[in-house]
Amino acid sequence: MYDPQKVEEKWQKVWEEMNLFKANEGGEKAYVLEMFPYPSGRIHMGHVRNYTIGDVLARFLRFKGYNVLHPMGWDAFGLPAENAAIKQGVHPADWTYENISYMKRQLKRLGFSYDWDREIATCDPEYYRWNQWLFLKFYEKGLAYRKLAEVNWCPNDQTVLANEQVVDGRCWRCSTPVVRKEVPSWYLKITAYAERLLEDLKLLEGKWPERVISQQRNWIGKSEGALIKFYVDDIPIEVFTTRPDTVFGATFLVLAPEHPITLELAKRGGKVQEVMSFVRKVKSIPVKERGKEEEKEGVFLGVYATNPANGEKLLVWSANYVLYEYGTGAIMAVPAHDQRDYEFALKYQLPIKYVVRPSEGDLPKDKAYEEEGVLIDSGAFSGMSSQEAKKSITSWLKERGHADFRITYRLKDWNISRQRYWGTPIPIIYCDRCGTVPVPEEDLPVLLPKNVSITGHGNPLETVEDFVNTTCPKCKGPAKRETDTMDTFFDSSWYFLRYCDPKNEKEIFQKEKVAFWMPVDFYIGGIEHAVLHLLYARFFQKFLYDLGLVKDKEPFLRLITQGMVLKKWVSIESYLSHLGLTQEDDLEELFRRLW
Amino acid sequence: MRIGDFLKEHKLSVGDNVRFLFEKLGIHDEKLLKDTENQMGEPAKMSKSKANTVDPEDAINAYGADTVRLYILFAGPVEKDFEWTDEGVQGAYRFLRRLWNYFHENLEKLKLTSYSYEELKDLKGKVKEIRRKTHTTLKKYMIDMEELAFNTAIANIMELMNTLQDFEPTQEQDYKVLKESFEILLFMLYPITPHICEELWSRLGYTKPMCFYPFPKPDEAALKVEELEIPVQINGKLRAVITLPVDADEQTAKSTALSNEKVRKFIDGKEIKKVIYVKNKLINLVVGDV
Ligand SMILES: [Zn+2]
Ligand SMILES: [Zn+2]
Repeated sequence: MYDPQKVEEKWQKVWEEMNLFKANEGGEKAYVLEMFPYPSGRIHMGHVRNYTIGDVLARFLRFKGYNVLHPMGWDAFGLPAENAAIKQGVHPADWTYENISYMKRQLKRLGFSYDWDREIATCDPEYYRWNQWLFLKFYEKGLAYRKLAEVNWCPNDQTVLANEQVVDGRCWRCSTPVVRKEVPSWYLKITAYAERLLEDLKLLEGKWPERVISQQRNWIGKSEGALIKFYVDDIPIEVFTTRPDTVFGATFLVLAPEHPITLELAKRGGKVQEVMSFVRKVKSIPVKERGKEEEKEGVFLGVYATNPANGEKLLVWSANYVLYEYGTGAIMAVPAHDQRDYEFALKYQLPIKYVVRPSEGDLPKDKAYEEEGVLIDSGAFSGMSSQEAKKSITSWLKERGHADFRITYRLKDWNISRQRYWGTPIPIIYCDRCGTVPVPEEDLPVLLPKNVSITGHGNPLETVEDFVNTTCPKCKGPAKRETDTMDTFFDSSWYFLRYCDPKNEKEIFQKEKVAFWMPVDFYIGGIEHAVLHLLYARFFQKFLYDLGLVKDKEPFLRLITQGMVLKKWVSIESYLSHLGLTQEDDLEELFRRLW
Repeated sequence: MRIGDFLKEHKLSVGDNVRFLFEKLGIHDEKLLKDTENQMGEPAKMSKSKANTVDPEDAINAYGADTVRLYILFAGPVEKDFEWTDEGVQGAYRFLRRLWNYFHENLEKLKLTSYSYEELKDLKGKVKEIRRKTHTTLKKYMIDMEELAFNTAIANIMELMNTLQDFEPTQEQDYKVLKESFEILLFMLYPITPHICEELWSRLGYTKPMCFYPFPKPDEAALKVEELEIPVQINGKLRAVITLPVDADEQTAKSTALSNEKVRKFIDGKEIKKVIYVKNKLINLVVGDV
């Protein structure tokens, strides 16, 4: 009789006792890695699919004579543990470690051939101290900096909410409407690596799914164009455009409401009252929601700028569809050749001037012509192709000091600050005398205090006196610790390197060991990580490459994005409608149809 | 009472799984639910909110880890979504049980049998075919695994298993071939369903886990298909001789004949009116002017 449970238990024990899957350096290596799970409580079928694919590869490659590294661990910091603490009063650490031990048993029952000696949990101080070490390296190289960031704020709980804690614009706990607030936050300058992150995608072609490569390319969003200066008297307004060939068609300028000179110009134009109330209104809407479906709205600032191409006077506006985060926070509006500008111009009856026509056929009616073509009404440039004119017009303006060639990226610097407890403390100390002081390497780790009350009010770390109050490493005077913890994407951006030398207490990893095992030959996980995790991991790898700690430019040789596990289901709604019923019908009728 | 009020009273929303409505109505009928799902269900990503999850632990308890692993890999290409069905996972379980039973039916004989490639060189008839099938499957398997086409690898293993089951070994040589095929099948299945393979392997008398033994390599000699020389006639006259695999079908015979230089010279500019093919004997092309 085939008794799978008995057979499986027996062999899992044999494998474990013989230490069959333990990996040591030597021979020809293969590194098979599955994206490590968040210890949510139990594994689900998506995990099983993910890890089964990895295990088959690992076992097959062993047969082929490879020395296989196949590790597993836990992406263990994060919000759900803190939510469990708020809801059930259990400490996030206890909750997390209990989940880990349960899920580990589940994974063992599936017979996965992991080298469990290399197991890591990112919430272990032995792991997160190296997060802190990495942060100090970023800081040292000028790649970690602090600036204001817009966050979701619950005025009742006095706490920052993650996007998933905002339900229909309200706090998930107390239903108070969420407001926008600016808080100082730590950023990593990933934009300094934008070009390399883009360029090296070429190394991945044919090895990564095309879909992931193109998503990363779009996320980095490189665009080439011109930076053009428009003047309002003596005040310059810089705009970035990918279409300098349309500059003769610019009929007005638009500044983002948050642009620092919006109010200053409004003052000059005598429109302070209107502009201020407009800015307040726009700011109450989260940036993510803006410029999507909602109606474009704007306000005239009362001033005019000069178009450097033709000397024409242009109205200067502020509007909700221009975002401060993108480009320079100001645009030259060319309604004839940009649909959004076109709609705005129609609404406020602003001039529309065509300066490019299709090389064949007519201009479209009732909408902007956004394609390239041949220039018209553009002075000496009329008759030129868009392609040529982009260069010629920019050079011409550049000679006269009004413009320059410019490359921009959609990619933004990475805000790693989280105002919560269950994460890696950012190793920074604030001193009244010395300012911002990084924690010296020899003082790491900055331990996350265990003794903390998690209520959902405020940032729990702020109330732990022993933690907050410290001594300045420079002047030895009293000082305060940073209470922000790191985005958990920081933890998962380099764990694959730590697996190569998981127990090293002296350094982040031994260079030689990483040189032996890396790169990861097969990395398996869900498509949902196409941009964030996979981009951050590539960024860290490149940073460590620059530090001389790793030899590979890219961490993951082949990427496999497994599909989802689906199952049929029927909603109450579709069931009722199948029976030809609605909620208005009588329950008795439902019973009648059922039998 | 309106249906809407009933839902409200039981804190249900119309977006919830109908299973909860049945529960609240006091209908505990898994078959009704199943039929409803089969009839009008929409496949969706397993999620708690849709209550359409299958707990891996339940599946392991019911069928074992090997079955779950086998099913998940067999159900479709790794990059594509697949729909979990009870029938599917049961099918995977039945396959492993069939493997287990068939193995044990032959175990006593197999344990006493040993073989070498040398001994399996000059086979004839059915056993030769079985051995060719085994080594062809192994060869395809190596390619499929490199390309991560686990689902097709498994389909081929299952097909091989069917072939073995149809085979009725009687002589010593039959058992030699069967044992080789069986061992190759276990090696191919091992990365996918390691536990059952280890168990069967040890029951064959091997003392160490499978990873200590060399993975089999396809025997090129066994892959070879026997070939015959076949005369090609054009309008009844012998014009050429072509080489065809034994039992080649008409399509193969025709295309091989038509690509032969000599044959082409005779039919150039003419129309082929008829092809007469006698398997393993001859091919006659009837041609005429266009
Ligand atoms: Zn609240
Ligand atoms: Zn100081």
